[in-house]
Amino acid sequence: MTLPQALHQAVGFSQPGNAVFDHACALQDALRGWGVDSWIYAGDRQTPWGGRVRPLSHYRDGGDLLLLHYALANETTAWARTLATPLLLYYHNVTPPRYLVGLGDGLQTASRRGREELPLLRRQTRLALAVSAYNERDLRAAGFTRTAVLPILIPPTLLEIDPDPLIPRPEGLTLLFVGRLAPNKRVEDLLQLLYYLRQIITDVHLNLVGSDQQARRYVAYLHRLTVQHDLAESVTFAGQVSRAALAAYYRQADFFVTLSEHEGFCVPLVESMRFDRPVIASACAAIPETLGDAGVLVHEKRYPVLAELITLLHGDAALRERVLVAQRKRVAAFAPELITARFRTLVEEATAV
Amino acid sequence: MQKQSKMDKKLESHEEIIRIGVDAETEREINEALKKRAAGRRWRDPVPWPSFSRTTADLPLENLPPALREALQEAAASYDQLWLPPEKATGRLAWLKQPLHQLSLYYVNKLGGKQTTVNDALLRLVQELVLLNNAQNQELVALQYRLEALERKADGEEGTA
Repeated sequence: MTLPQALHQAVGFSQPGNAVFDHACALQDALRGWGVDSWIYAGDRQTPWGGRVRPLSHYRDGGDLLLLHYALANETTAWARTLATPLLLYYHNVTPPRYLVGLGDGLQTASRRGREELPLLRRQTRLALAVSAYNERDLRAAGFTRTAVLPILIPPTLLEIDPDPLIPRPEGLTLLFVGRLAPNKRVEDLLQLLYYLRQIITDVHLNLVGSDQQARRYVAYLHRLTVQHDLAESVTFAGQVSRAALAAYYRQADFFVTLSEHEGFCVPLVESMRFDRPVIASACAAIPETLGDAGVLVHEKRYPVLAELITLLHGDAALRERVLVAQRKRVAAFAPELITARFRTLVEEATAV
Repeated sequence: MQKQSKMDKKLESHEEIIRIGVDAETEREINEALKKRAAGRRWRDPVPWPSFSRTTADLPLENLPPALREALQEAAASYDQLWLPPEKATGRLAWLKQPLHQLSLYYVNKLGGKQTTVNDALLRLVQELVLLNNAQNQELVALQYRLEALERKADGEEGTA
């Protein structure tokens, strides 16, 4: 089996820091490394950008294969349905509309349409990829018969970056959450956990790192909770930060914590394991699959017990080390060379069809 | 404690609260020890802890009169719209305007927070009443069916006799 001469990708948005776009860039680097011509065509660009991205209007239909990244319904997914080029669909999951209540009709509509319109791509799709087996079930439910799982390719570059020295190191125990501030991430549950934890350890800080622009009403609700429950000084809303700042937040964290209810993969779990930070995460959606046997999985959000758990792990170096040993083993499964090799095999398979 | 979300209830089906990746016996011991420690401590419960977006998604909206349906949707969309985000003051007197703005926001949002708590409680109450009313209506319909069936049966028995 051989690789195609060109394999271009299509995405809705091309903002660095967007998980889908970052992933597309990593795949582009791999493809170009194999000598395959590869550009990213984006719905939000009017002119070429950064030697990587071109507008959709520059795409010449009729190629061997196009890799379409699918999340919410957008201009790019509608455009892809008009193409004659066969698709290699890459499904990143669509946040269910119930998590977008109160965030504006636009997002809810994009989510609902994202789910409704997914089956419309079946005819054009040679192979449908999912970032997790959890996501693959959505593809199967939408009627795709040729599917495969390809985890997100996360180059370990974050580890190599010098951490931003301007990020202040909080006193005491530091918890970290990384991700978009959105209702499905249940950040309010983290605040509730913090509320209880502060009753055991007064010197504790929660850093919330991730975009706060998409769900402003939700972010205002979180701010209000911190004020109402006297947590404002124990929480930092860092917003979307630079790579150097993100590296600093990972390095200064004692624990990575997420009580999210809906994740198609959850990249920060892998990043936390790479930074050798103990992970505490809810047993929801794709999280158990990404963590495997590693990390601490929360099966019930009983906050006093979870506060005791963090206290125990913080004080018990031997137990913490056991968690970290399992995480070091698990993170090897996401080594870039393994993912790129699997990607290559899947591209070759799709090309040969 | 606040009412648990659906997901919290779903998670409860697992035997242990946490899975920590050690052998089963140690894991059970850790879970028991954590529960014991938590039970032995005196906690301040965060009452109330309002949830985001009191949603109408779980309500039987289709069974409601249009006016009530619209009022419920409007209430769910606006019950917490009292929080004012800080804005950056600009202009020549920004150094003066900014702290004054923050000071006024502090009190306004404190009051807004209390009002939201009241709104949240009232909204929950109305939503619970709607659910209760719906459940009672369903029960009534079931009882009517049953009554009709019994009447038919009685009529049949009378006819046979």
